[in-house]
Amino acid sequence: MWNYIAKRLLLISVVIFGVTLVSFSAMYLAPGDPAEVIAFARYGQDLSAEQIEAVREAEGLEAPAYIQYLNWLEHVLHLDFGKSLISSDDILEEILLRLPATAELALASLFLSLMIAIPAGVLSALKQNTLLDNACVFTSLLGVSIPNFWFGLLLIWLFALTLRILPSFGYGSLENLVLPALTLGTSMAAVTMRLTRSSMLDVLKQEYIVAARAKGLDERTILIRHALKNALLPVLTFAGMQLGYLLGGTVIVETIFAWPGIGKLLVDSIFARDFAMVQGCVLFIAVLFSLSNLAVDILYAVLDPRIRYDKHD
Amino acid sequence: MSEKKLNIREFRKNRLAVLGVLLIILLSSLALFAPFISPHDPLEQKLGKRLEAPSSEYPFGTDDLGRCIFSRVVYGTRVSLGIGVLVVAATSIAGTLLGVLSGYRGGLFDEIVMRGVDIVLAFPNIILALVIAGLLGSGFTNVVLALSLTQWPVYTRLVRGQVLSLKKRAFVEAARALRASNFYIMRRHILPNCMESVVVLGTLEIAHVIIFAAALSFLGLGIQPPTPEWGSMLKAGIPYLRSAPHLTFFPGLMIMLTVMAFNFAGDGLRDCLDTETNREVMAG
Repeated sequence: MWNYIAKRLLLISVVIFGVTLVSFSAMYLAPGDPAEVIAFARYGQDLSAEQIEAVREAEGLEAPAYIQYLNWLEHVLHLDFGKSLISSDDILEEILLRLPATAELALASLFLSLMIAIPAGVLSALKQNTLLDNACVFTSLLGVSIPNFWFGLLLIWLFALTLRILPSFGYGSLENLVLPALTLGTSMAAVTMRLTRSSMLDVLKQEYIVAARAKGLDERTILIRHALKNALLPVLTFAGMQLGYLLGGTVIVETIFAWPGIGKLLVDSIFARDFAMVQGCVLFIAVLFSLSNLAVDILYAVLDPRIRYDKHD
Repeated sequence: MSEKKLNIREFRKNRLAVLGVLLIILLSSLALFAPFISPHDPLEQKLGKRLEAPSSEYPFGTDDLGRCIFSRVVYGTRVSLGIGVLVVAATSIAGTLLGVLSGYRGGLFDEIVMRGVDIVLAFPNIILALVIAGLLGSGFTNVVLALSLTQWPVYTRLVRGQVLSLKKRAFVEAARALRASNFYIMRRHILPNCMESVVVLGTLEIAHVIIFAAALSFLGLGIQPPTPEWGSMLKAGIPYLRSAPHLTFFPGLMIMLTVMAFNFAGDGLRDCLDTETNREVMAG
């Protein structure tokens, strides 16, 4: 088991290294001379050549790319993500400032989605092909296809503008959390429900279920002791995919509801051409994502002994 | 490849899947015949007729610049389907080839490719596309580029997995024993057997890409007005959400219907595959 963890950690380090490379290159994506773009973002229209050169020197842009990268990487390893090109705030500080908001949204959405999806998926599988099952399947197909940004707007229209019982933007109280979490959570619930259902269906066909029945165990024990545990394992692996959707989804939801999280920070800095902030955000999000995936993988290995001995890529 | 025949019969039994295909045909017709179907020019602004509710003259109403929403929605089909097909074509071909090579050859090449896959997939879905499209600038080509750069790994991973198991099968060993070249084996034995899952994944990916592209435009980073694109139309409708909700309603509905169509069709196709490949595709 430790072998497994060690291997995964090694893999993760390589991946994270690659991630830093990709994050750093974000700066070179924007067309034009980076110094000019930064100077424009900072000072506006009338740029003098001196201003551009001053920016170039201040940000160390004359050095060749790989040297800039290595400098940046060295700072990052010391947890210095640099300063925002626009506001000169410390980047890591700004990110960490917004982390609680994103975490709150993410956790609430995840919680909501699991609360809806797992019971629905399990029930659906148990009563396969009944009206309940068909309704659930159809709803989840709808839910998977509905764009979450549209759904969010619909929710705002219904609850905030028409019924006027919930606020359409803002941050702080519980009511502010409801619509954003519902938007993100229900979209995720649709995906999770399908997974739970098909996983449960697979498990119910397995031999050990038949064996348990033959032993004379009542349905309830079979369900809880044998079926559920095994059915939920694949759902856990797909939790990795869900995390990705969650992190990506917060970008959109935070923008719609003006939720002050990391996603909104990223979008805002892209518009502001604040490359340093974009680099920092992207790196942070990707590392967070990778580490969460690692945690899920390890958890899965702990829960499913088969994976430890039979790990093939 | 006798599995293909079984597929179509089973596919037809799946009503949702058939509905999906019909919808796809309908949407493609909208895209192809847009000039004949739209009652008005999608770019024509009539500032005297702003924000009008749906009527017989303007089936979906008019937007904030007096443009016919129905016409814009119809022309938007071209944009969304165009992006979807282009990105999926490019990524499926590149990703599959990479997967076949990587899985078949193994060794260092395989390791490098898989690390590349891992690195791209280390970024949550939309974030990388967001950054690329955002920094490159708005526009059709940039969106296609950004989405292509982020979507290829799913094919590579899927195909590589299949190749790894195919490599061990008897007919490959037999071909080797007959001194067939690696290229021949890949082309004649390995690749055809991967195609089914790639087709399924590709169909589902069109749905993904369409939503992503719309999301990018919604955020202001993808296709921007005056080009009619559903995502940017949604964004334009936000200030009028209370007074003129039809600006937001119809484009969003179109996105949902289009994505549903491809999801239904893709799901139907996937259900026709055997369970093992089924699960791998689901993971992708």
